Amino acid sequence: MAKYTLSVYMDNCPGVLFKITNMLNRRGFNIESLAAGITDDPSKSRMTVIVSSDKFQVDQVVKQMNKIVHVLDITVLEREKMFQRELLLVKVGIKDFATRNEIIELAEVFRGRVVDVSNTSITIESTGDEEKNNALIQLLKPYGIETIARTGVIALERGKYNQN
Amino acid sequence: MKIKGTKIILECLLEQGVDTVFGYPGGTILNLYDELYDYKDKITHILTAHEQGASHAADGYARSTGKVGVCFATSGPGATNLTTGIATAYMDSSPVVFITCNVVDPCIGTDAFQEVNITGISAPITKNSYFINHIDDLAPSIREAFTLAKSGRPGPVLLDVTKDVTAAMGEFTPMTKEEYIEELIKTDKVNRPVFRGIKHAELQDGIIDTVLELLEESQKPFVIAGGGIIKAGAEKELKEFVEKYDTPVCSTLMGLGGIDAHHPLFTGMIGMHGTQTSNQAVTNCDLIIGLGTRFNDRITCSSSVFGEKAKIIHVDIDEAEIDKNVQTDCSVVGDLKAVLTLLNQKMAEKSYCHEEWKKTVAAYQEKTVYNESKYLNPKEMIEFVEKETNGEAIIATDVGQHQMWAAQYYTYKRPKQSITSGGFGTMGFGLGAAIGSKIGNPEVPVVHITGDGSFRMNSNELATVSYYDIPIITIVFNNTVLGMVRQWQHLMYQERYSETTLDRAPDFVKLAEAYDIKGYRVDTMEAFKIAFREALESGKPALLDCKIDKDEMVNPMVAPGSNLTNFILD
Ligand SMILES: Cc1ncc(C[n+]2csc(CCOP(=O)(O)OP(=O)(O)O)c2C)c(N)n1
Ligand SMILES: [Mg+2]
Repeated sequence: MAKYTLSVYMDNCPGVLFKITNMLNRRGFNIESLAAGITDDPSKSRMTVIVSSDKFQVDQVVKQMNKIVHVLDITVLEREKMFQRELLLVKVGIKDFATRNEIIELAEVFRGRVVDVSNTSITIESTGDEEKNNALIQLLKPYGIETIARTGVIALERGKYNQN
Repeated sequence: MKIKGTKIILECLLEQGVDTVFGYPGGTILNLYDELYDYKDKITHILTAHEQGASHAADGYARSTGKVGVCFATSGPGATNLTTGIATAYMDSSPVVFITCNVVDPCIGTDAFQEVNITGISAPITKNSYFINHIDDLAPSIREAFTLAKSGRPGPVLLDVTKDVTAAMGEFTPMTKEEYIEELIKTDKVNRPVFRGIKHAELQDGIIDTVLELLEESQKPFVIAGGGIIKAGAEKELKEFVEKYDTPVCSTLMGLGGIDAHHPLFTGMIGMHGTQTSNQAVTNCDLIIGLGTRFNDRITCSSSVFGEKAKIIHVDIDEAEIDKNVQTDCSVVGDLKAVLTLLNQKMAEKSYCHEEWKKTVAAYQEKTVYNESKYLNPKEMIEFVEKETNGEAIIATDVGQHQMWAAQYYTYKRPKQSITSGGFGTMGFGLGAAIGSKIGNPEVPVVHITGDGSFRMNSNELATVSYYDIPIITIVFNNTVLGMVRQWQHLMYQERYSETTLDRAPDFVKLAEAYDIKGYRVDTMEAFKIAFREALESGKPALLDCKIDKDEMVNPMVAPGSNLTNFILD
């Protein structure tokens, strides 16, 4: 099973997200992550869907999505021709001064940023592809992770490849 | 010009050429029904006994006329009563526009009296469901809904309008159906994948040549004509194609009538209850040409062994059907009428002959021996119905053994003659569908073939038949069992007849009489002939309660999940 990244250009109106997730669910497609946001045209949004599947299934996902009225265009992004980003916020409990420093150092190695510190916890922000964030989480685990929030992956095609 | 929301709805229906609506009123849709009162001479409303009946009637109307069916219902239970009808239309690609009204916008989401999220409920069983809580969206949504229902692969669409929108005043500029399409083509919207079918889509370069090459190569071709032929109105093109290419052709349940069943190249239905000839032919051919079929599991029985020895060409208007159930060697996405026309043109110069193969196919004799029936013989009954109606009748069925008999034994000669719930298999579909068919085709005799189980589900629509005096002949194949399920229990569950015996009320003849409809109790073929003739001549609604042995079987039958020639009944 491979991971496929779909970039879906669609209407930004009530019910769209529901219709798409409803279809994906009913067809039994295996969705790893889904993230949507408004575009420069406020009436449109772009959604990035990561499908964990084979080529055959991905074709099916695209064809079924194409039948949704609100969808304007779908691109299956190829690995070499795109970049992906995900934002991670992770809150770690701190026992003492030393562990706090260790965590800050770790964050720096990952080009993360400290966004909040209190006496009992520290919150780090990290941007990157999914694997990078997974790695950071693994390293933070021993310190005791309190909460995690991730945006899900968003992706775009690289400069010379044009998307719609 | 500013007019009321309800007027916008009805004006939009008129623009789309709608003159008949099936429905049922209630609290939230009161405004619309009030407006309808003033449109009595332009729009005929048929009040059914139940919203499900209305949904099937609108569907039957659409299937039998090719026009878009329209159905109204109120919010809450009115709307949820439609759902089986919507799903039935969806699975068989029938264009129906459902209009429901919801509670006023400020109450949406508050669990107000009779509030239900029908746009959400119907999302997976419609081409689109529109929630309209703004008057400016009303006319554009209705116009888009009709266009969507009919374009590409047809299907149901639902519009849910809040009650305040029906009462609001809104700007309205009249626009004919044609003008709307013209406008749409000028906008970006037409480039959306879902609207691709509206502009004549260009076929992929060279694809027809690939098809021609495969046709050229094949010694043993076989055509499967599906419901798409009927939806596309491509029956003439299909006939020309199979004659030119000199190929045997079968039909799916939904494709019946797509080619005249009397045609010498026709091999009958394919699939679980298909003919020996069709099932043998598809198994032994070297090229399967699927036209407007989705290779459903009732057709292939096992998609893994289906067409093992053959290459597969698939033509369908819905891209999502390509390679969904079977892997094809060549596929064309497009309108069947356009594709077949093009193909026929390109084939004009060539000549094809498959004499040897046709002989082989002809030798796949039907083995089926018809046992003596204890009571009435279903085959004889249906053949008699065909004879008496000159093969012209529209046959609307329910679901079960009687449905398969109606498919096997009536010789359908034209499209839109067989009205049956194929994809969803909805018991209770038949009577509503027959009502819609008769209203859409007043000149054509309509026979409703049903089973005792199916009929018991929605027999309430006899009230509609009676009130509007719709001359439908209902033939109840009364075997006192859920015959089709019992057949499976007989074959696969060691005759453990769990909950499939229906030895219970009502007396269908008395039931008909309660609705002021003539009922006939029929125990012999002689009585059947007399009753059917009399009913047909009377020009009035009638019901024939016909005694069928509970152990009567549908044969042939292929075991689900196995090779199409693995008949467990032949
Ligand atoms: C609404 C619905 N419920 C259940 C079924 C399952 N089912 C399929 S055929 C059948 C038996 C139908 O009995 P009847 O209408 O008497 O027809 P027969 O097979 O006896 O001719 C049943 C229960 C169905 N198709 N639809
Ligand atoms: Mg029965």
